[in-house]
This record gives sequence, C-alpha cells and structure tokens, in this order.
Amino acid sequence: MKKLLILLLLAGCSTTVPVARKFPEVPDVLMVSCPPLTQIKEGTTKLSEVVTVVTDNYFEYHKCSDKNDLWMEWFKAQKEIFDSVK
Amino acid sequence: MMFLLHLLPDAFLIWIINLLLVGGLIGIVVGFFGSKIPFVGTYARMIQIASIILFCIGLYWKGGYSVEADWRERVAEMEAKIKIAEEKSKEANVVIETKYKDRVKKITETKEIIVEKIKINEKIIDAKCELDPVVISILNEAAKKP
Repeated sequence: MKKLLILLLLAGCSTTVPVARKFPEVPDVLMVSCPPLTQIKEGTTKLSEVVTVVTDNYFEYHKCSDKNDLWMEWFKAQKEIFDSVK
Repeated sequence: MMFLLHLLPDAFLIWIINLLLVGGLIGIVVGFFGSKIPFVGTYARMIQIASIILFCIGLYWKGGYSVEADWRERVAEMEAKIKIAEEKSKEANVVIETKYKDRVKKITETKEIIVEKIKINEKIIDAKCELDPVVISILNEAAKKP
C-alpha cells in the first residue's frame, strides 16, 4: 500500500508533454545526392566528345540546382506550416 | 493529488465532485438548521464540520477539474491543428515532388535536343580541332570533387 502511494505521488512529478509534433517528411526525390561529374574518356581527341560530356555535366548541374531550389522551397513551406500551429 | 484526476473517467469524476458539493451543502444546511431536530441536533456540530470539509474538498476538486478540462480541451485543439498541419505538409511535399519531376522532364528534353545538335554538327565541331590529351586530363581534374 505504501509503495503504491509512493508510486502515485511520484507519478505527479512526471512532465509528459501531451502533444507530440513529428518532423515533416522530406520528399524522396530531394533526398538523393547529386552525382559526381562525368569524366571524359582518356585518350580522346575529339572536341565533340568533350562537348557531349560537358553538356551532360551542365544538365546534371541544372538538375542539382533545381533540387537545391526545391529544398529551400520545401523548408519555407514547412516552416510556414509549422509556425501556423500555435 | 490533482494528478489523480487523470486516472479517473470523466463521468465518474464529475459525479463524485457534484456529490461532494451537494452533500456538503446539504450537510451545512442541516448543521445550521437541524439543531431543533431531535436526533440530528445531537450531532449537528459534527455534521456541520464534516460537511464544510466535504464541501471544501468538492470545491477544490471542481476547480481542479475545470483546469484539467480546460487543458484537455486545449490539447485536443492543438492535436486537431497538428493534424491539419501534417496534411498541409504532405500536400506541400506532393507539390514539390511534382515540380521536381516537371523540371527534370524539361531538363531531359532540352538535353536530348542539345545532344542531338552535337551529333548533327559532330563533323563541323571536330573538323578544325584536335585535342591534346593534356586538355582531357585538365578537364577531368577540374571535374573531380576536391
């Protein structure tokens, strides 16, 4: 009986937060790292091959840049939603 | 002791509190005016004291319960807001995913056009220029992540 009473009294000291908030989910597409830049085949002398690889890398950069922009957009949107709950 | 309120069901709690208040009030009235009644008159003082104590406990619990109910209401309100926020968050994620897919599609389409242009002009591009291997080596070095 004494132990039960102590337990009940100690339960009064618990400071459980009644409402828990989950960290917002991040879209899977944003969680993929940017790939390394494509290398030019050693020994090639053709400018067209170099231009192709450089073009490839340019477009990879564009994708990565867009991903970065969307990360910022995601953060802004989620922050706004988070701050709206008061 | 107010935390004990968490452990009891609402209806039972209200019932107990109201019982204490009403019982206490009746006891106080009986204590004051019941001195003329033959049997009650003997215990009037005791009934009065016990009733005041019960009434005070009931009043204290009533206050505690009101605060508790207010908190519960606020928690429920907050939970509802969070649920809405989570839905909004999911919707925002869908928008971002769609935007990303659209942009990648556009990039891929443009890339295909450019690659096609390079293929068409391959002979013109290669006609006047032959690259030294050192150019490739330097470019590859630049492409590597430092």
